[in-house]
Amino acid sequence: MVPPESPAATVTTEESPAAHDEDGPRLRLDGVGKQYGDVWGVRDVSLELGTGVLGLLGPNGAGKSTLMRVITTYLEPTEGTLTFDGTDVVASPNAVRERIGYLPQDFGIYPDLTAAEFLSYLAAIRGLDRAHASERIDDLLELTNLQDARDRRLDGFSGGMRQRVGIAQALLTDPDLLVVDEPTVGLDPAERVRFRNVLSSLGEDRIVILSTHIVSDVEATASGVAILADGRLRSHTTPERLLEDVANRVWEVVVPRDDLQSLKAEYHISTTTRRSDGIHARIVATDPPEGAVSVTPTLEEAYLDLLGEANASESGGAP
Amino acid sequence: MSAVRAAVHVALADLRQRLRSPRYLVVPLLIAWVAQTLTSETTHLVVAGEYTGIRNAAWFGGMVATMGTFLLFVFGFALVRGAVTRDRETRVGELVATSPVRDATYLVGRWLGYIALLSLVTALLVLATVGGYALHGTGTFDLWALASPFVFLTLPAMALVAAAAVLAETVRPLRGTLGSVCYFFGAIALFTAASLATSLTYGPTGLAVIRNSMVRAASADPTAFESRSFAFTDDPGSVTTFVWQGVDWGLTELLSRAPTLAAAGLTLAVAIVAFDRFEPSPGLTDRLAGVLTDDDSSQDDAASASDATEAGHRYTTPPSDVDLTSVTPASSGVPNLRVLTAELRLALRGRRWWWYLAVGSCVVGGLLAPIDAARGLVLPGAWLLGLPVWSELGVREQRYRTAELVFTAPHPHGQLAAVYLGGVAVAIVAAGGVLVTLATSGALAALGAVLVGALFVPALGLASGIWLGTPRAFEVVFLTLWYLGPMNAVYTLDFVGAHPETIARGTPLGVAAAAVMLLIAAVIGRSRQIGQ
Repeated sequence: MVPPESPAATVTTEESPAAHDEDGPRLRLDGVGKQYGDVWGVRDVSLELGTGVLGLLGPNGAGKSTLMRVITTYLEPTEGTLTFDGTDVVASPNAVRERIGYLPQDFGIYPDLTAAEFLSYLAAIRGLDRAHASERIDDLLELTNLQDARDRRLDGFSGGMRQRVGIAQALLTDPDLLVVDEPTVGLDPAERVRFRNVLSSLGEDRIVILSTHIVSDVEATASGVAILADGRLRSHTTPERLLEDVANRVWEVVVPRDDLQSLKAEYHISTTTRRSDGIHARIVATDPPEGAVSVTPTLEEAYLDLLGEANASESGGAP
Repeated sequence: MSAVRAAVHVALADLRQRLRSPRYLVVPLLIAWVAQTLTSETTHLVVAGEYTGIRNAAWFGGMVATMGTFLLFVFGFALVRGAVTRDRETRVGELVATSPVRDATYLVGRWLGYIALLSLVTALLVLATVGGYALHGTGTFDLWALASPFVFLTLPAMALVAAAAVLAETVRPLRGTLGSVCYFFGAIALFTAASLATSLTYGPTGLAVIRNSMVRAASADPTAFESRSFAFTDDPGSVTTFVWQGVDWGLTELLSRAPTLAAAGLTLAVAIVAFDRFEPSPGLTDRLAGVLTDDDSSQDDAASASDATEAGHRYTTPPSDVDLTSVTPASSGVPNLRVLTAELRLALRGRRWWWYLAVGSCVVGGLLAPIDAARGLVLPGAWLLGLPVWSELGVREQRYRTAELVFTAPHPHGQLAAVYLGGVAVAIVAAGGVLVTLATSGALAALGAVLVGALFVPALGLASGIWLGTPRAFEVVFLTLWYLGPMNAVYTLDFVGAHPETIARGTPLGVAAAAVMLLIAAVIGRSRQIGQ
């Protein structure tokens, strides 16, 4: 959430990822903000997206879900404009809703319906005729590995199975804009990898906005990255450029367990691994400790580094 | 943490949750309206057929306490019920179930929370009565005489109401609309039975305690049949005025509350025994009861068993090999037959076989019964069956947290229209037999009145659900209208046109206007929900 007098942050947009396909769908956000009472959920977000997967990253409360709700027309923005292929989303929400697939972070189901009936219901209110809906639902149940559970009531589904139903419903209308909020939560590792592949494939000819805390999911699928913090867009770039920013600044150092606390106090540690020779710590630093070995950075380290810089910038400290 | 402390925290959490909801703002407004109506100079309480009291503080306290206790006894259940259900639906129950808190502690906490809310309402009623006295009262202000009936009569009754609410939430068959219906008619029956007796002072609301005291003060014959009379009226006629200084609270009067408190304790004890600690699998009694209710858990075991094998997915189809059918949605702001069918199916899903049988019986009964019986008995009965369907209309998306899925579909107002028309269809089908009988008899005005009613009831369910976010408000309003209008011939409330006088008085026109207003309210409410 943005405090009422949050300072404007520096946004890295000069090298925003180019769209894959200039002829594909385009989404444009211009100064979008959403206010709840006195608090801004998001503010002054400007983005231009073409086909491809955009990874939306940010800490808890950064405004990711609010931004997605605004994009999917569930919330009206307090300020700013959104256009989808030139159509004003606020002025003509129905025109946009016909082309949107949305998986909210926290959604419910109708427990008395079966998986197939639930999807059939949503297909009906989204304008799919019976024949096409039936075929599409069969395909989606296969895609999400729910064929065997299609006629079971949803109240008996596990969390992962419900999540897969959510994924299936988001794809019901073959959307040009797919917005998925924490889609892999509750999925087992195999399903997670499977869904990542689906997203990558879908991003070839449509806009996919993927919000997640799992940076490796973004690393595996996204052609662009947008980072939100405190409701503001901190960066919109490509994973490669984000990685370039921390190139030659990620190190691995082995320290005795007793020295870990002092290392944490001095350096920004991304991960630690316990080994027989001590603690292997990966740190992001310009001036590494003695004995540190340069390693290939991960997107997670680049993301944490950028967030650290943004926080330091806001608090007036050195980046 | 001691059990008492835990129970108090459970109660406080519920109270805080409710007091922060703007929906409860309507309660003080209603209280102010009730108190103002009862204490105004146009409302008179006549006891024993011919006596009315000087409008002193005691009289105001007795008058408002008896009516207030009755209203809270009948409607307080719907006001407080829901905390256990909320824990179940929001899955907070899982946290409770896995905590060391005992069943009794948790439910006593819930009970105390309900009592606290009802006590707060009672306190507001006392304040409103004081306000009424300040505006319209005479004589010296006697706070004890004014407030004591609330303390000794209203609060014990509220303990029973709170316990009944807890019980209704712990016994699976009573969790839904059936619980509301059973409580409403049970409370009315209990109150009526207790009120008819002259000497029995241990009725749940304590009406007889006040009435007997007033009859004694008026020097009327306590054994006379008229002494049972206790009437609020705007036209008292020729009455004798007397001074009533309030109830002299002796041991007899205080002990008269013991059965009510004992009933509250017993009800709570049954609730504790019946509580499943948020265990989703039904027990034996629930399975048996489930046959007669909306619950169908028959697939739970199969689902659980299947979940166990879920880890062994068959990854026979890589995602790249799934060729998705290309589709082009063609949505419209006007709901088509497919959307209507989908909404109707959703509304009817979960109804048990006996529900369809009962509706079918009403259709046949409407065809075979004489026209008066069809209108006056079959039709109200048929529409009572529609209550669980209509009570869900406006709250479904909130209750099941599907709002983000449904409201981001194209033309959400078209979906709203389909929901409404589905509700109308249920009303028309249930009344189908009666409608045919009326049509073939040439009773076109009555036919029109029934159709207007069929448009009104789903509109009421939709609007109240959307604005209040709970099915309970509709259930209470519907049952009250149903009880007073069709069943007790209050013609201005006869929304089904059960009585010929209803049409003569033009009630259907008012019902039609109300339906239009409610639909407008529903559309405004839904628009608010979409862009909030």
